[in-house]
Amino acid sequence: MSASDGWLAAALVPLLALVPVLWRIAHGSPEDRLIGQNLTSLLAGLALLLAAQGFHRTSYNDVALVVSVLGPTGTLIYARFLDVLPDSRLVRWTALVGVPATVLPLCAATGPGRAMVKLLLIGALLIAGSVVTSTSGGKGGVTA
Amino acid sequence: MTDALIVVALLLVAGAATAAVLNRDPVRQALVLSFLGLALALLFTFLQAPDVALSQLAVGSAVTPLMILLTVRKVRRRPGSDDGADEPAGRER
Repeated sequence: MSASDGWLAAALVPLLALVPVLWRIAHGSPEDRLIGQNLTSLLAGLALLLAAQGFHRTSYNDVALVVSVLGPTGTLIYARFLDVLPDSRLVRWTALVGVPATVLPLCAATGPGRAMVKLLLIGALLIAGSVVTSTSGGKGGVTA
Repeated sequence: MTDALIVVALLLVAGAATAAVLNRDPVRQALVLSFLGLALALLFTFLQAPDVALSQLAVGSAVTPLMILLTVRKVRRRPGSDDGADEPAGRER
C-alpha cells in the first residue's frame, strides 16, 4: 500500500463516520439534527483534508477551508431558526481530538511552507467553529 | 482506494437524497438537504472536480436550506399577525 493509498484510507474513516450521522439527521429530535449538522461539516472537512493529501493536490484544501468557514456559520443560522443550540460533548471532543490527529500528520507530510500554514489555519478554524457551536453559552440566551 | 471513497460518497448521497424525500416537515428537510449538499461536495472532490465542489458547497449546503427556512418562517407568520408592513430584519421573537 503506497503512501497516497494510506491517506485515502484514512479519509475513509471520517467518511464512514458520516453514515450514523446521516441516520441521526434523518430521524431525531431537533437538537440531534443540529448536532448532526455540526458534526457533518467537521467530518467532511477532515475527509477533504486527507483526500487532498491522498491525491497530491494541495489546492483541494480550498474546499476544506470553505467547509470550515461555512459549517459553523450554517449551524449558527439553524440555531437561530430552530431556537436550540445544544451542548454537545461529542462534537467538542471530535474536534479537539480528531482535528489535531489529522492536521499534525498532514503538516509533517507537507513540510514547512505556505501549505502548512494553510493547513494549520484550516485546523484552527475547524476547532474554533466546533467549540463555539457546541458549547451552549453559560449566560443563556445564545439562541435569542 | 479512490474507488472505495467514491462508492461510499455515492452511497451517502443516495441515502441523504432518500431521507430528504421521506421527511415530510420542511424544516427537517432543510437539514437533510444541507447534509446532501456536503455529501455531494465530497463526491465531486473525490471525482477530482474541486471547482464544482466549491460551488456545490455554497449552493447546496448554505443557500438552499437557508431559503427553505426563510420561506417556512414567512409562511408560518403570515396567518397570525398580518398587521403592519412586515419587517424582516430586526427582533422578531
